[in-house]
Amino acid sequence: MKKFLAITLAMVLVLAMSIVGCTGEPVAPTKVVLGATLPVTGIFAGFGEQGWGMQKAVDDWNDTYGGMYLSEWDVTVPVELIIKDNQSDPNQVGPQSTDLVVTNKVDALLSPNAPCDLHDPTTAVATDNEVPSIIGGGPFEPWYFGSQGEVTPPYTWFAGFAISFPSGAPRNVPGYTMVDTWFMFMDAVGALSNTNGIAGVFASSDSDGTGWYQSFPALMEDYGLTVVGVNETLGFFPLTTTDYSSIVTAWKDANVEVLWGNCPGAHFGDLIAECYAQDFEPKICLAARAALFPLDVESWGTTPPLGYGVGCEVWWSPAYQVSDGFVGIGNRTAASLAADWAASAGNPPLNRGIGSGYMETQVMLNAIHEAGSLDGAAINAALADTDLDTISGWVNFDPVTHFSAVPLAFGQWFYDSENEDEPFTQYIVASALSEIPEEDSPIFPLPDWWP
Amino acid sequence: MEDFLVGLAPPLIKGILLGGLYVVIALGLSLVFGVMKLINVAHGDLVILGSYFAWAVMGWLGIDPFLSLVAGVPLFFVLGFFVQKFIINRTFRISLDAALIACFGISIIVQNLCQAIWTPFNRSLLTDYRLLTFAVGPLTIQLRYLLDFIGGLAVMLAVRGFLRRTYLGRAISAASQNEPVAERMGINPNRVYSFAFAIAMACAAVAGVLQGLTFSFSPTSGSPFLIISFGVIILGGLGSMAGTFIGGMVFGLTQTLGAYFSGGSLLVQSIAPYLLVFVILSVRPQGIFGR
Amino acid sequence: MKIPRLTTLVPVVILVLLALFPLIGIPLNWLNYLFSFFIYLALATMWNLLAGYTGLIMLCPHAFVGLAGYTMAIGTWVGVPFQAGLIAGAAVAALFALLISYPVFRMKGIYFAIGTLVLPEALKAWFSFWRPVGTAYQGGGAGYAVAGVAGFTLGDKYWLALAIAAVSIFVVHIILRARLGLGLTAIRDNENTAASSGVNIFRLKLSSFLIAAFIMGIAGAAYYIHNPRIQPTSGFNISWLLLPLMATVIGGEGIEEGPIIGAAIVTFLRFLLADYGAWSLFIQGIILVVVVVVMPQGIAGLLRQVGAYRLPLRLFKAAEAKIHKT
Repeated sequence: MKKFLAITLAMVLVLAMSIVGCTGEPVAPTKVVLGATLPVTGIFAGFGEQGWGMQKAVDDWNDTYGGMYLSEWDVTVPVELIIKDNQSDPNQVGPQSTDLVVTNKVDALLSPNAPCDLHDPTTAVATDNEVPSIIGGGPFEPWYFGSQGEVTPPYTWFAGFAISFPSGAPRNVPGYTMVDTWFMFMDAVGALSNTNGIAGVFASSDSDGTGWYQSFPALMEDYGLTVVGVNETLGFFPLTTTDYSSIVTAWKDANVEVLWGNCPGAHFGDLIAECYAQDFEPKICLAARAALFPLDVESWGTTPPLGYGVGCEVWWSPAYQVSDGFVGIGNRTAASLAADWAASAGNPPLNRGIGSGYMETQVMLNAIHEAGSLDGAAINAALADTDLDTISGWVNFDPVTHFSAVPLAFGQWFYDSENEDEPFTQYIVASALSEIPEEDSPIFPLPDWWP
Repeated sequence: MEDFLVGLAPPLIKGILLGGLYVVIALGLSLVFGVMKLINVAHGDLVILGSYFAWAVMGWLGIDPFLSLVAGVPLFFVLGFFVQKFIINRTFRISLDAALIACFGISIIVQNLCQAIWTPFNRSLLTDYRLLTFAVGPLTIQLRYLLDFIGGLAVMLAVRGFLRRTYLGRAISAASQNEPVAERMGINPNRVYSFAFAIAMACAAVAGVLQGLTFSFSPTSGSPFLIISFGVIILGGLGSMAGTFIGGMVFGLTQTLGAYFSGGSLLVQSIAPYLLVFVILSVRPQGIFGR
Repeated sequence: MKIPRLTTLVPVVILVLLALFPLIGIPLNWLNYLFSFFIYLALATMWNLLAGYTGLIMLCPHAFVGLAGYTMAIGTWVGVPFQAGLIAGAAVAALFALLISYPVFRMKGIYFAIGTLVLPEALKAWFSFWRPVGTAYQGGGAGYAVAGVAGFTLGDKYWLALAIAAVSIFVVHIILRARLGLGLTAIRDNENTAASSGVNIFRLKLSSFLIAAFIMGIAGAAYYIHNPRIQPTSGFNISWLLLPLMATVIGGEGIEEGPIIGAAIVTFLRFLLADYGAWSLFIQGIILVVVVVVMPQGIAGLLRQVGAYRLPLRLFKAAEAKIHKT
């Protein structure tokens, strides 16, 4: 131990001297650095693919404008994006975000549209270090109330999934909240007259699912549905659950015809398989979060195709277009972004998250450009003034909540037994907005599992 | 009373059938545990590796996952043999803790190798018969759970037969009962360990197929099964194949009946198995059927 | 006036130097790395105390981290400042250790390992439902944000973590040189002999178990000041077991400086490899296996073996002799 102490002392001295020696004077920036911590691996990896969209926005900006023009210094410097993988582990998000700020000296932080556990630490770091940040969508209630309102809304954040979005939704038209899109679909299929109106609800007990379970059943009751077992928290399950038989039996006994909920894809797969096994088939099945990503839907199987007709909200559509010109950076359109994604390595099926990732980055780059400076406060002021048509809709942040809503539509998964590579495709079946065209008519009731 | 029995039947049957899956998963762990007194914390991940192997072969050749075992079992056997020979046997010379820690290392390696190769997304073994059900009287039985039970019974009997009937099997049993004596009788413990681990890996390959048919899986979904397997072998007593079988049944029943009698409470369902293990360990540390 | 010996002086100097870091304009990223390093170090030192010196393969650090973190987070929701919550959290962790001590100490060897490994899983299941405070949007699986930590700067967090790590090392140092340490080593080497020579095994094991639980708890809670949100999947995450385990084994189990070296390596790998996704943990796994197989005594053990300390020690001794002569 003595010997070890001697060495440590020497090392600490060297370390102290070397790092004190290399702190220098501030100079004109040579680049703009954006940083993001994403769940590239782990259970939320589907959300991690938004990094592709972020990178694309940065590339587009550099290609179109040759870099970022900063009027404060009268220089044009390249934009860089640094993505770190938090392995879907919320414990890593805080230190990684701090690392991005203090090591990589990022000028702004981006956080993807993902479960809110992966946002919170980033926002705290942004607030502490006074770095502008944009937090992608996600249910905002656990996040907003989770901070007890003590953390002032940290700069700006988006909320696509604003369950009870505060008044003054953009342009005061429907089509910007979850509630709108889901009930729009219910209206389209005449859920109240064509079913018995009895609904079962399910949600995983993580932050996302908790927010859903606490908010939606009441709204469903208001809409006119009868929701089964909410007082006994029927269908509210922890992530460790593998056996759903008691839940499904209860639904079956209650003669449920509408199934509605929010949980990860793997859990919904086991849940719906149990429904099938018990010969319980609802007429309508809506699964937020679970039905977002094609690989998840595929993993539920094709014999029978359990994902056929399952619906959820749609964040973004490759068909998104406004009448007057381009919505992306430069010549970028939503369609070309989707085409580039499909042509990228491995020809992946469409992950609608790429639009969200692109939008966030587009807004941040625009704000830096408007600020003409890398000063956090200046960028922040520019963010607050944002009034921009992006690849995923018009963005304008509410001065109080710091939220902007993005256009949402409702999609269902269609099954094509002929297509072996990608048997499931999501089409938009209900949309209140002319910018997002409907692609097919709604599936109602669910295709028969039992021929 | 009749209603009560009719209501009780589904969880009862499901518990027993699901127990079969737990048996297959726990068998490999139990064997290693019995022979080397080592908890192979990588076992859950090795099972998931088995699921991925079957999934990859299915996608590649389009054959049934059970057929993929023709290649999977020998491959896992050989892999297990070398893992034990080159890694775990060496750590054994140091201490049991070192071996345990090596297993943690293997667990991390396997999990992340699966992620790197097969992406972190969910998969399941999508066969045509996966979700078939059939009726027995008033009851509905799910084929996948029945397969779990048959698989559990078959693997248990096969391993048990092997341990009793073959020379190598008896050597493994001898080493697990009294190592110094076995050594004096000319049994090379390292060799025995290698074979025991190889068999455990082969069991993991089978368990992987069954679990992939029953539930969806991802690279990180192995650890819950590890904890379940602990429960099973604690209940069954270490190293006893028949005990493991009974342990699996009891464990499955604890889960389903716990949920049934608590009115579908998922809290009870998710916490009961752990408490059961803990209570048994503290009351009777050598397990219910242990010596 | 008596001149303090260098062995006393050197740690104090190191500590003072480290404590000065935030004041002398050290780049903030060093504070961030060192913060994580100190937390891992405290955890690893305690794991080393149990596994390396007491022979208890205790696999439930995540129970202590989760309980302490939750106590602190919940405290901030009912008006307890997080500084007090930190202590309360550690106390709850130690109390939990006390509660489980009777059953777990009945379990021997490998059974002790399994028994302790299932506990955090049970806690995780319980906390997935429990909602003591907050609205319906918090608690249960959604967890809690730690309120009121804004304004507690990185420098403050750094000092806190440094203090925790320093105390953990100091405590182990004291224990090993006190009667407790002798008893513990006796237990590790042969429990029966120790018992027959009058060592109260249960009390000795219990005291080290409680100390470890307290310090692991406070270290874990401190981490959640830096990463101010806790939920069952993060607080009771198995990575809280793997980190101290890897740090201790790679550094050298049963060697006092082992955890220091190991924690440094683990911290380094964690940040350095963050850009490489799954390969990052894959590489850490390989390193762990290679270290266990090739240098079972860990890096510190290897260094001792090859005599890497010899030259600095000679200088050290020469310096000491000179000082004492004058």
